[in-house]
Amino acid sequence: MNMLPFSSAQTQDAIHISVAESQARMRAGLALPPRLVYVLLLFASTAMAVVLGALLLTEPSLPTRTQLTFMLMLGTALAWMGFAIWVLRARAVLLATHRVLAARLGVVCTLLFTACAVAFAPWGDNRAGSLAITSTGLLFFGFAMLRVVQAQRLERALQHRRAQLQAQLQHAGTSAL
Amino acid sequence: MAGLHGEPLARWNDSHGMNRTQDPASAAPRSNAELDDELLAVRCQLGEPEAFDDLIARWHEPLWRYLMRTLEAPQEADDALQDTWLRVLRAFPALRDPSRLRPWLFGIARRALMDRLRGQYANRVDVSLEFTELPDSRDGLDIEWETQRADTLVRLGETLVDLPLVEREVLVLFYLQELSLTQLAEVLAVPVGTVKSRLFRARRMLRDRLLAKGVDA
Repeated sequence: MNMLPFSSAQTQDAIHISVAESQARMRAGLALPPRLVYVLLLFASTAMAVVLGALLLTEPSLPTRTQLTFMLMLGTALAWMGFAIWVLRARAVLLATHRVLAARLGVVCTLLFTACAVAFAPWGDNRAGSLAITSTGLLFFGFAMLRVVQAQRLERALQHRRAQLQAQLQHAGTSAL
Repeated sequence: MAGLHGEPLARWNDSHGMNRTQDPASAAPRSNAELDDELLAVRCQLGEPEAFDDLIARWHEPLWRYLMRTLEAPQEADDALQDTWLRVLRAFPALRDPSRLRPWLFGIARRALMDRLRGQYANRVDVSLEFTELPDSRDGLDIEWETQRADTLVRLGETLVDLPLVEREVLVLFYLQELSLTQLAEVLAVPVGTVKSRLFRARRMLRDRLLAKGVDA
């Protein structure tokens, strides 16, 4: 029996796009691998920009043509950084659990980057450049750690709220019985 | 969806409906449906794929009905709905208050709708709605009253789709989707006073048109 003036049964018939189809599209939009690809793109382009920027700042004796090439590469790295940030903020957004994963990935990447900078420092002549790269790596490592803490705090708060709501609903269900 | 079950005509004739300013989230106690919605929003914010399945299962039809009654064709409503879901996914990290899922969803649907309508806003809409399915059996009720009520509902639907977009939208959201004035103000991004005046004007226009068609409004 349907008493609705705007019958749900009728409108359901008229909907061309099914719930299952919308769910499938949403699932595709929620997929984790593309998000992680953009997170990794962000880290890689940032690392590239840091190394190139340090080289340009601490190696004034480089030939002009090399400097121009490095500038071009730096511009490309910055463009990729901007693109990855835009995608992660506007398109493949990161939800709470994604954020935790991305932040942990950030910690690993910045740690690797800093370790490489420290490991390769003795073989180079450019002490100032090595120091700049290592310092930036450490700075980014600290930032990544901060993001992990923030992401975990958000996730915990949401899980706590979920548990509260589930308890309230369970209580309401029990009371109704 | 809750809301339209029961006495649809009484709701349409309820002049006291304008007093529904109370925000359900702030009123005590909150219903299970509201708690369920908030739980769903929290699960979505956590990034649970199953929560998004549940969200779509619950809100697919109400959003489609809102879009369908404002746009020109079912195909347009389908496209707007897909656009809405895409926007919902992208906007979830920015949802600050999960208890306000309902107005938040309709607000996003409305923005998707407005983007589609931009450029053709002034066009009159001619949506063909059918309101022929009525109770198949209601023991003890007057058949004549039922017939009259069915006729009224059909005319009501026809008249509603004949209204200008702004008035139709406010009536659909307030009476059919049962949003409070506060929620409606949030969805439409206007002050509550403006919502009241729009509702007042929309009700008056609807009444005038119904009277012109010979329906006792």
